[in-house]
Amino acid sequence: MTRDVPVTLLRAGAALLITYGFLVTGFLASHGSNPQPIAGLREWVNRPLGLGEDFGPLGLMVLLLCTGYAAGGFVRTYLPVGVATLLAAGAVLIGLDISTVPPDKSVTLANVAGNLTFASHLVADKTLLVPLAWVVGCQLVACLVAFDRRGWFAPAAVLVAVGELCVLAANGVDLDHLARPLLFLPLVLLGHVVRRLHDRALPAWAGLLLGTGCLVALAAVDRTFPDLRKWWYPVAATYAVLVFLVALLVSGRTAASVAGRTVTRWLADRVEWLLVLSGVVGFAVLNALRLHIPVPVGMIVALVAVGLAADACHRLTRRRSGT
Amino acid sequence: MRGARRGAVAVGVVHVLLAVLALGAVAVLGTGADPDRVDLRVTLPDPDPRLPVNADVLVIVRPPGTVVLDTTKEKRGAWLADVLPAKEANVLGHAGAVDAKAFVSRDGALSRGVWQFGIRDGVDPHVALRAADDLYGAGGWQRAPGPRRGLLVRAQTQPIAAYRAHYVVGPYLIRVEAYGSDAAAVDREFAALAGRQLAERPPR
Amino acid sequence: MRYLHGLDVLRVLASVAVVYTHTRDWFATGGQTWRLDHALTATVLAPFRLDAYLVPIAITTFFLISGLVVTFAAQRESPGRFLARRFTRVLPALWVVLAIVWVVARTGTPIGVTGPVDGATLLTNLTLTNFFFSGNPGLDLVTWTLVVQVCFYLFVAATIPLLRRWPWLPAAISVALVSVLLSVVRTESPVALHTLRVAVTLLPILFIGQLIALVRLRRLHPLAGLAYGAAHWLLLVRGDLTSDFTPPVPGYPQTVVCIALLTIACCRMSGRWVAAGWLSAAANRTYAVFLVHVPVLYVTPPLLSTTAGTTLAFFVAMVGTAVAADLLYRFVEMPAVRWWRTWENRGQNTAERAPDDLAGRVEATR
Repeated sequence: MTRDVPVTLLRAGAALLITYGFLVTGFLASHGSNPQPIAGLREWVNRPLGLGEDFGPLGLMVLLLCTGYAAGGFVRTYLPVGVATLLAAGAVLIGLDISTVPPDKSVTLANVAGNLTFASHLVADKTLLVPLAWVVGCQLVACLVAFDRRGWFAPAAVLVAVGELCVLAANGVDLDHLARPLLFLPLVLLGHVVRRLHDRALPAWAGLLLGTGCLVALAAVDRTFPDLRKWWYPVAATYAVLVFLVALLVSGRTAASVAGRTVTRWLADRVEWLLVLSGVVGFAVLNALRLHIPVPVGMIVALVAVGLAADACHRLTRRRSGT
Repeated sequence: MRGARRGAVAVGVVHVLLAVLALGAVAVLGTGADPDRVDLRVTLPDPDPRLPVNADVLVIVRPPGTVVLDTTKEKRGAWLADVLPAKEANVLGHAGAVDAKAFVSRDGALSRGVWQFGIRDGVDPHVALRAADDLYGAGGWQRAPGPRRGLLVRAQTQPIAAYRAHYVVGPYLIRVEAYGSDAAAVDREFAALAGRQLAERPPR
Repeated sequence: MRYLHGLDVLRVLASVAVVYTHTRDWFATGGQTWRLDHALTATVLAPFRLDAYLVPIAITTFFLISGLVVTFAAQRESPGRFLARRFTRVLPALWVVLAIVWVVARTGTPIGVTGPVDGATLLTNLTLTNFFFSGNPGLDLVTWTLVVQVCFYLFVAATIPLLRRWPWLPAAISVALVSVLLSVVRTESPVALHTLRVAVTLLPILFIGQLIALVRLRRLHPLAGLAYGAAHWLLLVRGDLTSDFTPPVPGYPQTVVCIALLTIACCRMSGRWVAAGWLSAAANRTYAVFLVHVPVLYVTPPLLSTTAGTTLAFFVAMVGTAVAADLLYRFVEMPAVRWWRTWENRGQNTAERAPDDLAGRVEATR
């Protein structure tokens, strides 16, 4: 059984969770809506599991574990952010209502450049045209870490950096805007460590040490930034890691059969596009339609629009990269 | 092929029959909630449904010191009669309180406590607030100034220095208390604990 | 079917969790601060929301593994043999511990028993009927879990013929049965109904363990196992949401998913460290530890003329638990199992003897 099978399944699952958590329920929550099927799901599934934001962070964590395990090329990983940022800037300029932070958007050359280079995510109180672009930033770290032939040095160095930033934050330096990236980053490293262990490029004791370090870093970030604690991210991380390990260990014929389905492969190949375009295309469509058609219908239209946009971007970029 | 199809049909039929049985029981008897406890329900507001847990399940802070009573881990806390004197449990029970979640800590002769009494649906928590305050007033506790409007503070100096203050947060009656032999320490610790609790969950 | 060493790891961790939780409560009864608990809670348990969930973690682990290994056994044992072996494994140690606790309690020595201790107390505890009648104090507060276990054993024994031929059928029946019982057992007064409600609410955990075993044995399609497992999990959630008292603490649905995933992963564990002798020895004694640790914790301080939570009492109680558990395992549990197997195989030659089944070696579910 190839390693593609579990990674494909997990990425497809992540795509569904991310779209549901950040587009479907994210949009409804931004308008203070808590309709019945979603409220029921929250009462019967989300709350008993201790998973917040309607599975969105769980999806992100699974995606980052997979990225750490099987990192792609640097340029191909970056492309979704570049394209989505330019699309977002264009959308704002023509007056479309998309998801940005803060909600009142400003598009200048400086902040477009800042978003394209992730500088806006690294500095506090900047306009974020693609609020979830930091996830791709974490994926880029995975690409860099994958270059480390020793297998342990790069993850250890990143963990030390995370630790030092926590110490700075605990001593009063304002790093709240980095809280989520810092908390999610160890998952990328954990995926990388698991891959090295799988390849026997790392002894078991070193893998265990690094893996423990990743979990410790995650817990340390959660403790350092008080605003994060109410979201129970370490709980979501526990599920993500367990699902990831189980998928790697027990994928068999059934898993291969599901992974081979067209819809599974489609989702797995386009998850990053779905992630970044949900806030741009999805929110633009939903906000444009919400006063004219019922929200459930608008949601279907938005999902189709995001799907088409993601598909188009994926095909165009794949063609250009020759794969 | 025909045999496999027949087998699949049989499996389907069995599942349908079992589902009808299960759903029929739900339709006739309910999902399993106790009908006798409907009147004791405490409905919590849910300010952010996207949180992994309702932020209003526990609204009290943990006092410093060695915790000797912690009834916050149980779903419905403790029965009033298990953690309060009989008279007090009776008064609060009649005023609408159904359960108590509490932290009580002890350091030598100084004790501190924060209590959360759930008030059942249909009852104004301010009724319980007045009942609790009147109970201590009738027991000789004097009115004392509080750090904030909405907090009713009672204090005594004999036989030991003590404060008991009550206020309302959503469907809860909150009690903050401190008592011990060192009056200055009791003053100080009560002010600190009340300040912390009110900062975390102001009256509403 | 090879021995699943990975489950030993889980059993030992669950045993540590249950002893840790009861030790924490024990410190509180003595008004003492447990510094290790403070440090561990602040650094590890609280960030991962484990501090309040140690009891669910332990109970879930024991139940899930029990459901798994008992299902392996059910593949090759007749209903009568199945029940006899389970009870031989569980009852002798239980009876010995309860009898000792009863004797000590009768002398007036505090051993964690509240209420009058008389002949009726012993009889009801030995038969686990103290959980069905009020006014009967429990001699060992952990034994309520055995009521749930016994209910599961009875269901499995009754459905063994179905399990052999149509493995999906007991799974489907169990979903419907639990659902119906949840609807029927709505009130939790008197105490008998409360006990029944506890059993019905937590049985899904054992059934999820059963499903993991059936999928692993390839007797159930993975997607079917996932579907039945999801149904059982939703029943657990339903039981939790519709009762104010059962389970008494939140966290069971969360821990069931985590422990189920961990169990599936641990079934795949292999290697020298997992098959280490000390780990296997510790895992075999988890049931004994489960039975003795609470009485030992509460009898130690008065014997040392100190209070619960002092350093001396803590270390003596931990050593006492280990020694008592080892003695119980060596001189009660194992001899009982060996005696029963000898009796089962009487008059038979080697070829006719009951197979040395996997579950017999991992039978200690505590």
